[in-house]
Amino acid sequence: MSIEVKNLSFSYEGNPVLENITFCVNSGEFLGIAGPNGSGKSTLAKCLNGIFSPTKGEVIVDGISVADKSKQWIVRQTVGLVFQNPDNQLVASVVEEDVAFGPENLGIPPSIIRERVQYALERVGLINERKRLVSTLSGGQKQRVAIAGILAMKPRYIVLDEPTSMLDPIGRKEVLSTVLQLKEEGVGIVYITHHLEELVYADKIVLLYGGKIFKEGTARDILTDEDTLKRIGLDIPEIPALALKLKKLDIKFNKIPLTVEEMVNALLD
Amino acid sequence: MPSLIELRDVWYQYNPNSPLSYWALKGINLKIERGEFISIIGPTGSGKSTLIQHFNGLLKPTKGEVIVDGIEISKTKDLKSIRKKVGMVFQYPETQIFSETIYDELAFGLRNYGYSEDEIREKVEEVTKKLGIDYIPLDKSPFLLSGGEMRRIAIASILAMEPEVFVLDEPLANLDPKGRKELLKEIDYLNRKESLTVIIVSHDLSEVSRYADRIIVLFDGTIIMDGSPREIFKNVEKLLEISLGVPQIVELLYTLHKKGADIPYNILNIDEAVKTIVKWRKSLGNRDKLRTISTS
Repeated sequence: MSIEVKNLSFSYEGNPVLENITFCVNSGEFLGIAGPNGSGKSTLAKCLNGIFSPTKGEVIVDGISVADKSKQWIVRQTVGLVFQNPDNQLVASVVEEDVAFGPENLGIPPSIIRERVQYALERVGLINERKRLVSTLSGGQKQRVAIAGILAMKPRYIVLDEPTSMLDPIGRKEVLSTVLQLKEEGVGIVYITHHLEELVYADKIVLLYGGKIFKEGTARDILTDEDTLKRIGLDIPEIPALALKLKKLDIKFNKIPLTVEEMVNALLD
Repeated sequence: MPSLIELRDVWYQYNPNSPLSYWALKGINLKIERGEFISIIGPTGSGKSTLIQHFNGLLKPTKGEVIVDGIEISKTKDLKSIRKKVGMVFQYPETQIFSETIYDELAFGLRNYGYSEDEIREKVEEVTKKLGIDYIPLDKSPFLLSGGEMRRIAIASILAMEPEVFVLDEPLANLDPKGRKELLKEIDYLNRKESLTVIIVSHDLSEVSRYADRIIVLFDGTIIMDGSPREIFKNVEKLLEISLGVPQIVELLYTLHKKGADIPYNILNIDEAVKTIVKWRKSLGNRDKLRTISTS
């Protein structure tokens, strides 16, 4: 079970936006995609559930090509998309109605919808807010309602396109820990961002630049490669940046730490 | 000379006399002097946006006084001149762009203030240079620009009015790292070289703290901290408690400190963190040597 992207190219009004992209995300895997503005990240997100069809190459979701319009609904149910601005994705005024909107459109019977809404709101930690007005929620809570709306359709994969860029630090933490928990439960995650410190728990990272894959590797490979990141205008997160400088001054690390916790342990060892 | 902006015991209540009423500001005392680079930090709902809207009279205090360059906002009829003095850039200012050409967008405010077309052209050209957007043809539609460029045009349209104080609400939101750094550097340049007073509102301490010389922390409608970044970072525990993002290196040194390492944690950048850690490791090494000597 996987989303397979094979030699994907996409052009918009004749201009190439993505060129020859190949990667794969399995269920239960966390793939990070990073790149500066204009690198094609959001276009790629929309190719993963068939909002855009490839100009060349293929995107195959659990064996189904996203270009197959007759299977469009299955693909959209399998791959859920969460966007940047929570205000643009919420449709109902009450939390539980918003979460029910997706499954209602899929024609699922009401009793099952109720179960799904319960399940989804529990997953994102908002079950006690089910009757609240969406307009009274914080940004982080709204983004979690958007994620719940996707979860209620029981997708196997969730693609999040800069889901935290409009949130404050607490909202960011809420969204990120929800995503990590979903990964543990077997959902395949594609997490798009230019805040690299959010990708420290990714299984793999793909760096996009000018519509092409610039480099890919494990989180530790990518997040400690200062030269590559600098070349495409991204910032190495503070902890690996610090570690690389300490290493030059003869402080030894078995592996370059990525998080505060790893760094504390390495230094107190 | 009076302070550029002074707030005396300012209280602000939304929806007064209704069940939805609440106090967004609770007794704010604040003086902002010419040439300062200030960052106002606070979690969502702490009153940041309410506070800055008092600086140019968009909101008037329910109680207390706001004085801009010697003029009390609640009493003056001339808010127009105050709004020229206090330039305000809101969140996602690019969404407010509406003109057909970049030139018209940048000239809009100036035309409202009655400048001649010659003066306007001069000011427009100057401001595009200042913000590093003079490579874009002025007759181009602003809607054909990238997000970062549109953000700059929107900021330039306020700067063109030559405000004395420039207030920006989350100016870096949604920009990529390169765009953030460039914009911050340009604003910093305006502050240092053109002595423009700058106030940046943010919920993130890490980035702006490298440039601001004063940080004001707002929480639940009151100012809970006001000082230099170094003074503010002494209170990491409180900052973390109210869910403000602190730089990871500050969090790291604070964690080491809590675990018994004898190190300061109110540092401002990675190079300082490197020095602090190296020094601490050396002192540890010495202590280990001493211990070996005393036990042998």
